[in-house]
Amino acid sequence: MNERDIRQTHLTPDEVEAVAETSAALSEACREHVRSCADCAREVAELRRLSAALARLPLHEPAPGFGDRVMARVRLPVPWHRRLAASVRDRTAAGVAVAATLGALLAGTGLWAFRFPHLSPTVLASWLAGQAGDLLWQGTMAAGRFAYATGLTDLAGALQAELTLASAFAALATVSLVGVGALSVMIRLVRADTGALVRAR
Amino acid sequence: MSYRDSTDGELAGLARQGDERAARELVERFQRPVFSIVHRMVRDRELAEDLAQEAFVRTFNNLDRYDPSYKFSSWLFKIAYNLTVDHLRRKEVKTISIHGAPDAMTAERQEATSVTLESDEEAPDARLEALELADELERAIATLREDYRTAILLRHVEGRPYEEIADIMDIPLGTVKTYIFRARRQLRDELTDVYGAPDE
Repeated sequence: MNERDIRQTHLTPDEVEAVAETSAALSEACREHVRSCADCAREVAELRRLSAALARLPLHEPAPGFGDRVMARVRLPVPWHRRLAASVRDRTAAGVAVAATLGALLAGTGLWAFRFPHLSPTVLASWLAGQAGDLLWQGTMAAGRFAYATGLTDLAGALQAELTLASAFAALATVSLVGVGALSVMIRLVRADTGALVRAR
Repeated sequence: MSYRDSTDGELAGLARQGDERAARELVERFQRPVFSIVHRMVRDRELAEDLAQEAFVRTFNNLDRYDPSYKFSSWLFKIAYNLTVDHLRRKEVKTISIHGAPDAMTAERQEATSVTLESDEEAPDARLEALELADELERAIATLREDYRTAILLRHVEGRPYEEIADIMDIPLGTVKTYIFRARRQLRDELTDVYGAPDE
């Protein structure tokens, strides 16, 4: 096995193991030594006995359904072509949903026009625009009344008197920086790689 | 294609492409070896099931990082070993018994955490003797230091080569040899009364 004179010393643990396992790499000198050295022969015999006993130890069995429980939690990687197919399927489904909605709208409009022939599209659009205008006007008036009643109009006036061009820019810059920072944090959180937590060194 | 005839590497490759049957075949192949090692380390059946299950889940959920040049079983055992060692260090489980976990205070808990030894190959007398020897051996293994225990189980129960054990346990090859040498010495000393001297 090595340069040293095996006849003079006992076998190393590696050599004992090689003899016990009748390794092909075993040298004739080691074999010869074991035949003539009672201590080393005993070491070899004990190792063989222990190895055999350990090899005979039964494997422990997990409870039935172990595989099912594992597979229920496993998320196997999805290859790109399957992701693409799934994406196409999703887009197709979304397209069908949009088409169905538009179809329903068109059908409803047709039915309406059939039942109320005097209501032309132009008349209907004009009526809807009038309603929206009224709603906007009423909302604006309500906001004005609220601002006047709570004193917000006085506060706005005071602020306007104090506001300079420099302070306006400073406020705008601060708000922008905070917004960009918050956006960056959110993007990092979304892209966070949870798999890195696995300790597969 | 027959999944049973495929190598571990081939199955891992298929599982990496999303093939669930390949993943299931790998679970079937390795559930007993992985569970056995973990169970012998933590001595608590329920906990061993949880840890073994988590090892499989982490292995499969990170298959996109698996290097096919690396042996699949080594990767799986490495994850199982790390999970178990992390758990033992957190809980600081120091002493263990074949008849139940150290924290087993009730008879039910002792039953749940004890080791069942089975062997149906021998005749009744030989079987009884084998069971007694295996029982003593399990008891002796349970007294080993956690890293000695892992090393000798991987070597002699799982038949893993030294290099692979070093890789799984993330320690130098020389350290693995030292652990196994010391573990054998300790087991031999513990079992002297049972096995007797080789010359007897």
